[in-house]
Amino acid sequence: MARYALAIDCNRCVGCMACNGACKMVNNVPIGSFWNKVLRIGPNEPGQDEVPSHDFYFLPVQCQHCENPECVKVCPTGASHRLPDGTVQIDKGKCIGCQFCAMSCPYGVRYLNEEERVVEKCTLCEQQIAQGELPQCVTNCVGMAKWFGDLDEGIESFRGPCGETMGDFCEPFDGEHDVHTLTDVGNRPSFLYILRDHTWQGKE
Amino acid sequence: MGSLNLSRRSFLKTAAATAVAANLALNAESALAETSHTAADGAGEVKRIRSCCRGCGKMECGVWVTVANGRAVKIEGDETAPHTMGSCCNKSVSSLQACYHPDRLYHPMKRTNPKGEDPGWVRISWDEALDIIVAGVQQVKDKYGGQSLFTMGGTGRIWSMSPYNGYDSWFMTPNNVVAWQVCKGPRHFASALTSEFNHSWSATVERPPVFTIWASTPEGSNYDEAGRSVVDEAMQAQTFISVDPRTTNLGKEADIHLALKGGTDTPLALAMCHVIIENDLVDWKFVKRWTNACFLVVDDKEPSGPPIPHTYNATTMVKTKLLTQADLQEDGSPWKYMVWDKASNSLKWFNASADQAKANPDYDPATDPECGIWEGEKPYKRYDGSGFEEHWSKENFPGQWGEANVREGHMQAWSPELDDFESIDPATEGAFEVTFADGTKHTAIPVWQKFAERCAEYAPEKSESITGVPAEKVTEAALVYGTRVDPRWGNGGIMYQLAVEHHGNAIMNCRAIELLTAITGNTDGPGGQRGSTKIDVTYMGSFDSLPQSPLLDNPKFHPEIMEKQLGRDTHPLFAWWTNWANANTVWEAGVTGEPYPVKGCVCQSGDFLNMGNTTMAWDTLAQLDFMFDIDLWHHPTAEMADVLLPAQHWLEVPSPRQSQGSSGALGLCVPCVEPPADTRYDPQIVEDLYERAGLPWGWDEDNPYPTMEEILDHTVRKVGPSWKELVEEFQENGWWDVKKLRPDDWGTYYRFQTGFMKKSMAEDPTPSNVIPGFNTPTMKQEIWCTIMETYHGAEDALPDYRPHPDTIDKNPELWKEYPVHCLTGRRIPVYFHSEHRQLPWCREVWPVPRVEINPDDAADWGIEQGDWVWIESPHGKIRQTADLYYGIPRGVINAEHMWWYPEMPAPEHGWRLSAVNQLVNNDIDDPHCGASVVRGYPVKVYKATPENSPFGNPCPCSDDGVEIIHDASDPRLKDWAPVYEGRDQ
Repeated sequence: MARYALAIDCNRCVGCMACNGACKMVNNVPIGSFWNKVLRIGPNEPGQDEVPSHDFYFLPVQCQHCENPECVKVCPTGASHRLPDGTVQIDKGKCIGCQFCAMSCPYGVRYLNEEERVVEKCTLCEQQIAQGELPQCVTNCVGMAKWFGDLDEGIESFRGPCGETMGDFCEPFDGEHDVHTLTDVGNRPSFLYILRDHTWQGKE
Repeated sequence: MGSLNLSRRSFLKTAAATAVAANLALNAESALAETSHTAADGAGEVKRIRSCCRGCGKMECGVWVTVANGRAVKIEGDETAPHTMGSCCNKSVSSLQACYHPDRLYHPMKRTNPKGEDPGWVRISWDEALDIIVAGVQQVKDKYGGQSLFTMGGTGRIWSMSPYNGYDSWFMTPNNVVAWQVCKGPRHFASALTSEFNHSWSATVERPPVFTIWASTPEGSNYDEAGRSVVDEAMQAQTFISVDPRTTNLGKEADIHLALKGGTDTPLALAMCHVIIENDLVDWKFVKRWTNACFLVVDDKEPSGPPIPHTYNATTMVKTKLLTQADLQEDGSPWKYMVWDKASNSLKWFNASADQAKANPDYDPATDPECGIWEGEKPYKRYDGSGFEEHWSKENFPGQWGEANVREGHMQAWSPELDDFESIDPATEGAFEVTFADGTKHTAIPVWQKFAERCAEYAPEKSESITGVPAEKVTEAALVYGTRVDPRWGNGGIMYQLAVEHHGNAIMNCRAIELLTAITGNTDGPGGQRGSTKIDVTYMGSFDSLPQSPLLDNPKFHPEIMEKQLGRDTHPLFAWWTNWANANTVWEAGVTGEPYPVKGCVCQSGDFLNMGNTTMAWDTLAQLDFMFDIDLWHHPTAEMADVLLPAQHWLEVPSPRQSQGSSGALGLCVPCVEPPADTRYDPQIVEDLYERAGLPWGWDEDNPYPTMEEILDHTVRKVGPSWKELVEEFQENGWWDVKKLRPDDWGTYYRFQTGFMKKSMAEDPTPSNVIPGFNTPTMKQEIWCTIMETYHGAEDALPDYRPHPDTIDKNPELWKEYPVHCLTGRRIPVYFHSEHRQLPWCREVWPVPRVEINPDDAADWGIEQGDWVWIESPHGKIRQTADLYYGIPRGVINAEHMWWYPEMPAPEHGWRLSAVNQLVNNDIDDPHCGASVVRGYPVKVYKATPENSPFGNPCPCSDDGVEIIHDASDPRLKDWAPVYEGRDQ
């Protein structure tokens, strides 16, 4: 049992989109479809004193591997399911391509593979984490913003591309004010987003 | 002669280790094989090959390439590469799509239709291609002369640098049109004037406590450092200062943001210098002894200089108003620059006699007891010739290991104590009456005083109206930068990059910034301005690495040819620099035929979109009698060629990869997959052309056309017994630390004191070339630039603000119709300049060019997020899509550069739709180095509508109305998926 997730240090994300190519390289994602995206959030106000605004951040978004996932609830065939390691996966053999899951996902991170007629999304590189390796978007993250680990072990234990841990490597943050999730509508998203000194625009 | 850690003994050790790690050794061996680079297809073998990326043109990122069944399938960062920390960006992984792209050139081609139409390419043999090229070049030469040929070079494939001078001996032309002129070249130009060629790089990898990024976005572009290292440094530094008109992606994390108006870098840098001076944060030990701050300017002196020229690329008879002993006495030495000694209240000299060594074979600094010394002070420590194996600097200069805050894996460098004066005390201010040999009396003023006065002219309160940066903010930044975190050394260098080069005042900007780093003691200090990693190996096909035949002639030997260099008449410093013709002048000659026609061209990773006015550049290409292009793709420049030659991709070729910048690493690009079909390696192509032209090529007269293996062995001869063995060592142990390989050349700070600064990277050290100081006429880092003074007069000897003619101050009338300040050229993380537009993993996340507009401006202009907008100048108009962004000030836009659309038909591939340099005024450029004004000019911006757009469609279309790819769902992107079959045909 585990609760695998990513912790994302948004101050370190520079919107380079290395995670896009990294994901596609190992997951055979169709051109034009995405398992992950990077969004620029803000700035929503002019900067103060004639200086351009700094109050924005980049937000890598992918399947949040929720603890109480809507997509699993609405799946009529049991194709979408939650594994004991905490990840949400799709059994393509059972998927009928009805896309209820895609419609129910609060984050819009699922799509229909038009050729295979099944729904796909981020697997957290299941094939790699099962072997003790990292998801590719973590390995290739240029800013070392993305960290992989087990929420049960604590965020400090999350691992980076060269064996570092978040607790040892990243800049300190306030566990109360600086740690966020994407908006939770009861689905309890697993991914943690750390943002210091900037205005988090999501609803808690 | 040094040889890495590859002594015979360590080879044996390696061999033993290899036997254990059999899998790795197998990889290394197959990666090496001369004819078969990889395991045969179908063997089912999966290998991981250590190599070095070339997805962009700017950085040596260590990567692991996974090869399965002979196909490259995965690229990841090499986590053992300390300089990049395993960084691997989207451009790098997308190389998998470039290498196997269906549009790659596989065969030589010739055109069958006239220029301006679809070329109607047909496949030809290499024999036919080489014959056509040699004949075509000869025809232009015969009809118009060699000067009517020009070369076009860029930076895309690092081994493709032959246009920088590799063709000169064949073409006998002085006209090299190289992207270097607007990218990095001006920095090198300026630092060569001020201190050392290449000295613009700072050692970010050494984690300076104050990290300053001035005018760039290395976090997305790997510009001079890997994105990962840059982000990490910004996070680790006590203070991160961003100097940029807009908020950059990493700049959102800045502690201090100096949001200057584009092109006002000199006033800002001088304002910061003023604060440093006023607050007594100057590193006097360095400034007094190692700059020419204390040298004396005599305003009414007729400029004069030594009888033997200063030698850079060409020779210059230096003429300066700096006071020398020759001014004061009949038998005085013109090499002895005078200072006022406060200790004795008399004039003393510094003897810069070493400067003549290159031009005067009778002079040997090693035997001149007065060389490089101050009057009354002890002579410098003479080098004993102990060679690379020893750390002579450490043995002979007391000091300590640096304590840079480096991440694990980096070695510290030896930090020698800076010597102080023992008896003299040169004055930095005052006015001193001096009597010349002819009895006339003059007033002599220290350079420093003049510099301080110049800085005061731009004091923060005074320059605020120019730069737009509040005075208190400039002061805060200068105090943070200048107040030492560690009293033993400065807070680090400044990572200043290309935007300072594009406003028509490139050299002034670069000099001003360099002086800010110098007076705070960061010249060659820990994390400081250290310049290019100094090791005597370089990449293949570079400017001068490939040792050409001594039998070859060269235009540089012929003043009558060099005088014809286009742009030299309007840019006097070209006579000193020689390295490029002026792009703007070449396009002008192409269009007008004046001062003479340009009629032939080679392009090898160059481009017509990168500088000057694009429309004129295109028209120049269109009227050529003959052109050939060496490339991976059909892009617009290629479509104007008569013959196309197919090049190879970085996954297919071998090359050493030493850090261009201050990262201090040495690695290798190792072939991972078989090159396809008829492609050839760039250096091989140039050699083949020389052979076909009947000219010798290689360094050995008896072997004029060496094999690629012989060339590789020769290129790495100073660092290893052979290329093959180096590759084995690299596969096993990874990147080399140049601080260890070359402890004196690189593993020591403050090399101006030890003597290893002046010594060129290519020379073995001897008592005759290990001489303290810099390669300037005064042997000092020049605050007062004597070469500049020689060509442009004393008024340019100190940095000063020179707005270009189209700025609002100089041409307010123009701004009435074109009121918006247009910035361009910001780095896009998934592209490298014009490259990668046809790679699906890049294009699908960034399908169209975006122009950043402040949302409040956009509201006034009726523009919404994602709208296509027209951007128009007196010279042209283009469309890009609006990105509303409060990170850019009002009245300023930031457009993207060098857009073309591979999906659009030949020959133009849609460059007229969005390529930003169509807006450029081709008549204005930097008066010193010629860098064209490609940023900071006036435009107007308005929404593209059905009414004002061709085909009633705001989205750009081809001539028959087909839209460009503007969406990730466009099915044409799928046509660009990799093709693995047919590579052998």
